[in-house]
Amino acid sequence: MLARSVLSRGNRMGFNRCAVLLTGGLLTVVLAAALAGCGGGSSSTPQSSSSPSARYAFVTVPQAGISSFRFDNNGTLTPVLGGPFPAGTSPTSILLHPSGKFVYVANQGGNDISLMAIDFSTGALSEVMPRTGTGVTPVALVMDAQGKFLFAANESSSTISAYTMDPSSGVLKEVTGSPFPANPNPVAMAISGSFLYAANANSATVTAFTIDSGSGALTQVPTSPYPVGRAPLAIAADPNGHFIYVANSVDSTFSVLSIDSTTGALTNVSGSPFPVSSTASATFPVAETVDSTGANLYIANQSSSSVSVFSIAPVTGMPTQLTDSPFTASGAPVYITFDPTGTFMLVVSETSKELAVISVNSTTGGLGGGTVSSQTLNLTPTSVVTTK
Amino acid sequence: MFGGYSYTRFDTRPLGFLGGTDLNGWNLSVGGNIFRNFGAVAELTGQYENHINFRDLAVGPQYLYRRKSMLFFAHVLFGKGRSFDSVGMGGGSTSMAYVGGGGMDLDFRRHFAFRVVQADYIHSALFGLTQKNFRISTGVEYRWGEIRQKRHPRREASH
Repeated sequence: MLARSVLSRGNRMGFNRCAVLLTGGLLTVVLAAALAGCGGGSSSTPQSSSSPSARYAFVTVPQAGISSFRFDNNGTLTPVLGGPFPAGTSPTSILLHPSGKFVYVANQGGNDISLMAIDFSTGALSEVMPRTGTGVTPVALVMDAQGKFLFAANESSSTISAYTMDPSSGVLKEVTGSPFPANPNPVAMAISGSFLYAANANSATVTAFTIDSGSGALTQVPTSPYPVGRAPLAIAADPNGHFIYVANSVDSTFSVLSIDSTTGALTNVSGSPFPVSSTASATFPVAETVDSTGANLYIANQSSSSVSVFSIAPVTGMPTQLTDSPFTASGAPVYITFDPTGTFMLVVSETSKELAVISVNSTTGGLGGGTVSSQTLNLTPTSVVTTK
Repeated sequence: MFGGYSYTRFDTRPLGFLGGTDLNGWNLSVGGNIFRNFGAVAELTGQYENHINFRDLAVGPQYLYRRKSMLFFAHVLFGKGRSFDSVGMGGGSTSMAYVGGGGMDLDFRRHFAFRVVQADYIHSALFGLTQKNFRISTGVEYRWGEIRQKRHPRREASH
């Protein structure tokens, strides 16, 4: 009787202990899983790029490489540990691969293009060797609308290099016949449909090319080049395919040219070129971008540290300056672009050596909301791109 | 003396990562009683992942409470944290680390106990930025002595 009682008690205690052990072990596993699941993506489970809680912004800094920042949905920038990440010599221009997994970097001093893989858990970039050769002094990159071809403007050799992009690996393959001759000193490019337009800084012209949809080869439009203002340093295309905008830096004006949708030929709209500010308070425009609907044109004025905003008449292309434009931007802006949502404008500035995030008014397109966040780069930046 | 597995949710968002990072590793600690329910404990831990790791060495007071075969504990530790990363050029950083947490051990032999769970919050300032990390550990504890359950005079008198 006593023995049975002791045995029974012993069994009960053993059972209880096992139950506690099992419960504890289970609790540990559940806690670990819960902790692993909280706080956004982790390095072991990279965030899907289709619905990101944050993106990354990559800034070319010719003297340092590529600086990386986590770009939160509220516009906050956080420097990525380990940056800036090395690319080639004097990286100047940067472009996101259609897959969103890579960036291409034009190395102005190395006469080549770096392919860099994005680590979405850490924001780090790692170069995929070998680099792809270009002409002399590649200063700008542009991609066609279908994401098949990449083009590099070679300023010193006055050519444009064309490449096909591997959709999965990102590897570039130069198109037969590339580099294609351009007019003197192409420094900026824009693509509208099957046409590529290059702004030629020294010759104050824009050259138009037809892109072969199969091979990516360029053929100059016969009536091209087209005269614009002095030192055109930036060019942007209307997403609706109707207009091309050119920033004439020395004249502090911008040209609006309508596109012949059949031939790609350009014609100045009535009154073009237009001053970048009706009060002459904005000077030396060097960068441009257009919002996703084509309703507003944004022009960065380097000397006056401002961004001019114009609404564009959809049929005539006539620009109307927004109230309060030009908007203040710090330290000589040299590059502007929108984040993928169009909520923020990213501004790269030369003298303040910073990347700034400016809030965009969703109704008017104005920039009166001011700077949401900024990060100093210590060295002069030249361009920026964000992940999708 | 405790040794076992530990998992840390390392707060890498301040470092520019997209989110926190899951680290796996080990936890070793040595403790001793000074008074009946009070003692001191020293821990050395290491947790790792491909991009980054975290280690800490910390010492501090610990409170112990026995309930039958279960021993509950809570501690506050102070020490140093160290982290190495392999992001980009890579590098390392050392900072103060503050650990606060507790857990429960369950006896299963005279000198051995199973640490059912130990949960800690770890505050560090690595790479010049503040991190708020969470860690849980489990493993086996070896004891030289024992921590007795507090006696209840009334209950003893009634028997």
